[in-house]
Amino acid sequence: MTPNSIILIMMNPTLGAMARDNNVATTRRGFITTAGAGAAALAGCSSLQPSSGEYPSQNITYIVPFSQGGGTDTYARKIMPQVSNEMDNGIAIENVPGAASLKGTAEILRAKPDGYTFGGFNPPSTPISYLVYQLEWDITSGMPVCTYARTPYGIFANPEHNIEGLKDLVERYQSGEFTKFAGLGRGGIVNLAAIAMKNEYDLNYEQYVAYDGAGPAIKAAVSGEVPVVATTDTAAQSAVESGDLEAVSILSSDGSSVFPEAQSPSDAGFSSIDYIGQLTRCMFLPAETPTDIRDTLAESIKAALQTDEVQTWSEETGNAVEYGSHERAKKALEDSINTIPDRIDMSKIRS
Amino acid sequence: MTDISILLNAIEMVFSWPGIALIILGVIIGVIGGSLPGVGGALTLAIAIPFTIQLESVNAIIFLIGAYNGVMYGASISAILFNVPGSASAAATTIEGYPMARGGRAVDALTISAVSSSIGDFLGGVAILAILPALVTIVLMFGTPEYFLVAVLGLALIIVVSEGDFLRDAMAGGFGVMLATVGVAPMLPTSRYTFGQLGLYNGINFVAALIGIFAVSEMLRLSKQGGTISRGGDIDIGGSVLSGFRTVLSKPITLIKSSVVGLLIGAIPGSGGSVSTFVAYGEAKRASKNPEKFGNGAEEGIIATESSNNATVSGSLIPTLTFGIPGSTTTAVLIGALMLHGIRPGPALFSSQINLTYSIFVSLVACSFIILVLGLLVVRWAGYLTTVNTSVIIPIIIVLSVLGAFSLNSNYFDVFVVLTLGIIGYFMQSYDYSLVAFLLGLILGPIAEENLARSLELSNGSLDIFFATPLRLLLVVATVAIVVGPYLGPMLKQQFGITSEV
Repeated sequence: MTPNSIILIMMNPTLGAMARDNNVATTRRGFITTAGAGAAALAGCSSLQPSSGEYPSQNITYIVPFSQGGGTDTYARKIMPQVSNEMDNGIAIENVPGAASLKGTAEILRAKPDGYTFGGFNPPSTPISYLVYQLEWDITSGMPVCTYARTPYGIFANPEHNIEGLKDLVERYQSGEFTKFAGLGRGGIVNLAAIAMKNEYDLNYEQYVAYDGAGPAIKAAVSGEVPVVATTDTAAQSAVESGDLEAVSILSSDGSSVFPEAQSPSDAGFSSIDYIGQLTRCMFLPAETPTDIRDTLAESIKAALQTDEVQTWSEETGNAVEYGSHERAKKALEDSINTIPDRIDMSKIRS
Repeated sequence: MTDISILLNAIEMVFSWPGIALIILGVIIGVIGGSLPGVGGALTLAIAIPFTIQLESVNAIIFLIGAYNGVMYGASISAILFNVPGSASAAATTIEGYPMARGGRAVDALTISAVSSSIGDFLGGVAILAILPALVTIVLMFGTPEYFLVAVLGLALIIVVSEGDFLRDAMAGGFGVMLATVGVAPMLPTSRYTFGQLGLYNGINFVAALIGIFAVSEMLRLSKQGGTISRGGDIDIGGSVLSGFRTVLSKPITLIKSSVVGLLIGAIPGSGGSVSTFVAYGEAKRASKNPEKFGNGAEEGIIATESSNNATVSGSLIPTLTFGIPGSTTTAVLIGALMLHGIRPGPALFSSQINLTYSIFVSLVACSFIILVLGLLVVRWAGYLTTVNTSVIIPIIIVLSVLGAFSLNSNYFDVFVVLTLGIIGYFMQSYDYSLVAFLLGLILGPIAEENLARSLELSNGSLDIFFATPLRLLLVVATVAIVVGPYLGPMLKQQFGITSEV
């Protein structure tokens, strides 16, 4: 039971059911399950005891290591109701933000390996935070369940600069016309992608200007405070549609469903930086969870991604959904942990 | 210019079934959530979001806008009754509201708050509908250097809210700024004072600090005094509602001025939403014929803070909708809700999807009427809470505060923050250190730090960037005027007086 639930259950049993619903994927069946769970909690928390036998037989908690309202949270709130439907079982979404997603990730990996707690984090973003802060626990110890989406990063520019592709952009930095490159927080994925481009493409910016979130960074590029900004394709979508920004390059060789015409670095004759040019959104269970539980979850997620609800939302918003096996999630995580320190001097990031 | 046909469509949609019912429901839920100490806006909206999944996206959004607006008004109820502001912007309302409640005039204060909030909502909504197409330009005028200067201006406002010794309050503000340095630095992945604890990487949560410094410290104080919150004897419920109504309407200039301040300053991304109510309060105090009443339950103070607070809702939606820049945790959740319903905040909301944007602001105008009716219904009952013995009130508030703090991020450090700052706040208040000044420091310190660092990155280390445009110069002059005004003003007056006598 999450603390949000506790507060309201204490005040009123009806509100208690609402409180559960705050965190529980809302399907008719899921809601009934959780409302029942709220009542049981009032009667002595009997429903909270783990049970053995067929899986699932009690509510599942899905940990989002980010705040409410972020991209990972939005995906969870759209997909989990459908997973709940597929499993005919309530799924509570719990946001555990903090420490650049490491706090929630640690909670996922340290949970009891019974299949009733799992969560999502996104290589290479969380692994980068893990590498930057040099933590003692092993982020690769978790059991990958699947991948459910891919979010490519891109470079976007104010149209007044008339930038014609990545090659032109690199030349303009080399000529000194541009000196600043904007992105998200220092030590994060965009900062590292910029360093990778500096190392591998000679994108010679003098100053990396870090913004606190995609919105402020995009606004800075639109207002002319900085010439270009790197952010996710979906975050820049609205500003590109309105003509305030234009896509220069999408940093993934797999391209972008939002900007299918935009060229990738490989298209422009540069080496690929896929290891850092896109988020692979993955779900993980704690280590040593039985593999049949992982497979049950993975199948339900796969089916949930195919539902009309999720597909329509995906088409409307550009938030691509793509199912990938647990091997793919494992590869995404291990690639991040192994490749990034090879290509980028992490000690410089910390100073 | 406003497109009349789109506006009429929006009005028709909002005021027809089920639009209006959803707004009413949203406002009710928002008022309940906002007025419960420790629950607050972000959690209320997060609770409401799953219920919107089956709704059409426009209906879902206007329902959530109703809830957001309700939260902003509801936050003032707990600020007035228990000295517990539900949000940063409601903290300004505690300055005058709580002394009124303690003086047995809770119903007066709540009525003034309801009427002012409603009018602020109405003026804010109407004004923004009139200038909607120009709003993106206004947001673009404010960049990193302006964010820094607005944050510094907000810190300078400590002098305005200061009720006694400015140096003490500056120290309280400085303590807030210093406490805000805990966590990962804003511009470098360097952790400060985290002692290797992941729970401290995100620093001191300001909502937890808000709950601790105001709610817990006040409960400690009340526990020593016993009795009831109201020390003014019996409350005249009927008469007070009427007199509260008259009071607000007798101050049209304060109302309009504060609403404009709320709208414009609230639209500044970053610290605008937190600063606007304090600016309005400061201006009301400056312009008042009875400035000495401020700090002891001045009605004008509540009119200013509450009308600007609700006009800030309209203002703060501008950066939220134009670029997805959340001004608070509540608007961050609102952005998530928009995305969940297939609406991505961005400039397109002001071009191809302008219909939806008009509906959002028309629903804000609708909210103003609902808040008025609901607010006036609630005051009658809420006022009685100040006559309940504190032995009943204190445990409830403490439990809600602790649970509310834990529910923020499921982080035990937030609970420690609530309890520790509760005790610190108790002693700060006992020795006349301003809690509001502390809060301003805690909220604005990190914003100032981050934007100072980024501004200097943009200017290659030159401070000239802060004087480069007329807008920045204006902000610098305003800040200097606020800081030196109280000292220089009387000196100039004296000089001028002596000269004229000569």
